[in-house]
Amino acid sequence: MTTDRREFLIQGAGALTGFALLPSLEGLSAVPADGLAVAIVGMGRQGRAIAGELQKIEGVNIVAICDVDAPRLRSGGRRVQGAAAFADHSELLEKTPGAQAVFVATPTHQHLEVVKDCLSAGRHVYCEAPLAHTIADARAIADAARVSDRVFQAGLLGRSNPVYQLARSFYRTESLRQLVSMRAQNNRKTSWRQGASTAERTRRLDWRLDPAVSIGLPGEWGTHQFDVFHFYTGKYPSSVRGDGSIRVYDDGRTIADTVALTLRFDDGTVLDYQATLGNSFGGRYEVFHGEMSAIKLAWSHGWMFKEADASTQGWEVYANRQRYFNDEGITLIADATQLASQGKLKDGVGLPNDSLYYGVKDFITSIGDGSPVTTSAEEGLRATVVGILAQRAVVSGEEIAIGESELKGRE
Amino acid sequence: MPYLTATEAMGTRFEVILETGSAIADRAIAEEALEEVTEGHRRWSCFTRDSIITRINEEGHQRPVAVDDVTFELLHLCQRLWRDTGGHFDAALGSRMASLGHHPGPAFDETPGFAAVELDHQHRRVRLLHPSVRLDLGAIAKGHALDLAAEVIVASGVDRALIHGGTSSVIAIGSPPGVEGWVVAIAATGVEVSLADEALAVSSSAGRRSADGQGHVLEPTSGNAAAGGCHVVCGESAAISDAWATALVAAAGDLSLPRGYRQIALPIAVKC
Repeated sequence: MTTDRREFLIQGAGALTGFALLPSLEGLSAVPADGLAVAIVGMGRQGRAIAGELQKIEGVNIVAICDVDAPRLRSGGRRVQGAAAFADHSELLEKTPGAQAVFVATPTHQHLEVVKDCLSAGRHVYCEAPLAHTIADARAIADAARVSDRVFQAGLLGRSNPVYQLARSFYRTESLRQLVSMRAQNNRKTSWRQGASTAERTRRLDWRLDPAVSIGLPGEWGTHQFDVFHFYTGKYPSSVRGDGSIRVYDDGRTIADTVALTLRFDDGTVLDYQATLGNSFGGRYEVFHGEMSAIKLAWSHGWMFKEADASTQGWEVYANRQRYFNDEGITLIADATQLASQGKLKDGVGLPNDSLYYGVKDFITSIGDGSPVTTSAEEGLRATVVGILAQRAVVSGEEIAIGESELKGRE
Repeated sequence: MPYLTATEAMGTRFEVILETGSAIADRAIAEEALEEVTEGHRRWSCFTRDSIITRINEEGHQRPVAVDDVTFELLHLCQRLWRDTGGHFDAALGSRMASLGHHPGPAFDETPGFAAVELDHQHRRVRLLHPSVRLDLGAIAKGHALDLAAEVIVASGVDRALIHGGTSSVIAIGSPPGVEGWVVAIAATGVEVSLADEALAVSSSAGRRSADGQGHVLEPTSGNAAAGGCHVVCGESAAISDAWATALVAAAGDLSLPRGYRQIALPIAVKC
């Protein structure tokens, strides 16, 4: 076999930058040899999305679903044909002893009871993030996971996302050199209300707008994005200041539909975060600005924008690029070495699956081969605490300290 | 006052119009309905890398691909309609569409189409049995997404709404106050159709064209762009109406519709 110069440079680049160390997008067989029976508790939008991703994985069988809301349970049943349907998670656990793992996708404030019951019943648990709406509940979940011998994974997807893992390898090999600043946003045009035919059902489904249990945009959306910065830097912010207001949905709600946050780290770096339900421009992304380059991550895609005085690697000549007004970004492609060797580098732009797929698959792999989970209960707890305190900063208008003691579970 | 909102998906604009008496509920229900459309786009587009259709097209020749229940249900419907229309509706002509310049990807001048798609009902898997076969669900994906969106609207207790995708697929729920149905005009024909609790689909050989002018509806036996005019079908399901309207164009109108579906007569030689 001969290797031409182009292939040599690309493969060499893979070794230099760490692509070659990354697992394949599909990875090894994830599912235990005798298959895996699972259940989903909470069949709202996220539960249905989890079902869709699970159904793509050979050997996984969704044997039961659960939701207290009858229309959602019916809708879930249509999407998971053949699964037993329950309105109560305790009944599900009692009547489906064969379900080895449970995906918990209930409203955030209902996670604790379900997680504890599932772990007590000897089931592996994937719990959506944020873990809980209070620090006490989040700690209780982390404690229950710690004392259990079952696999527990928090649903923070940045850590499982192949593009994010690849970009992190660049971050860690000092492609940015000195970190200058961080920024993230999540803009989506949606009222955050659910369609419901009765007032009682509306109250139940619109929990994100109930100030008694909601942790708002910083908690529900921010938690996932803050964790990306924790994942990359290995650090957590020491304080957060926030502002929020109702810019669009003046419909009686008190939960802000638009927020802006400043999260400060002990080393002086700052993460600026903004989220809104009123406008979708730019969508959801995170940016690391460094002395030599910037990395922008947008869940299915990632780019590196190099400074003019940054050193050039040989492989960059052949890298795929995209133009952003005055800047040109190098597209970060997972599995780049393999794709390049097949002459399919451009085909690799963007992930071939939703980022949820990788989180779900990592959890199943951990059950199957005993490998560590990609997002532990402790990591889930810490990200949740930051989200909860960020919402507290928005509500109070004050700068909130984030102490080491708050980020820790019980010793 | 009726509430109207929209989203961009599947290369076109989807709109919902509804009125419940509560502006807050109107918006929430419309958003939830359009989520179904967005989800349909994510799953069934053959132009996005992370859709299950792209995955089938890329991997289905080497091994069976497991898919979600909603997608499997849609592919099963495609298979049934392919049989019922005598092959005139074929959702597996993607490589021929590519060869005519409608989209990128592997191009073949000949393909067995859906005849070479194997659906494994027990394991919910899809396999492509010929290297030329590529799924391109086209209008039926749009129609199915509309059907799912309409289910959300009805399940929310709404009895008066209109939802359409790119104006070529429409579902009417109930009718506006004081009239028998929603009046839908077929562009450039002078024809108006009154719809109540029914779907309508339009397909035309004069519709979307490639850069070199090839139509997007293919005549399955020759694989060439069909010149079968414009056809309008009404019935319970937008997906099924869309498939039959497409099949009528491919068959130059020479098909009998199933029970519950009707064709709207258009002026001869009209281009819509």
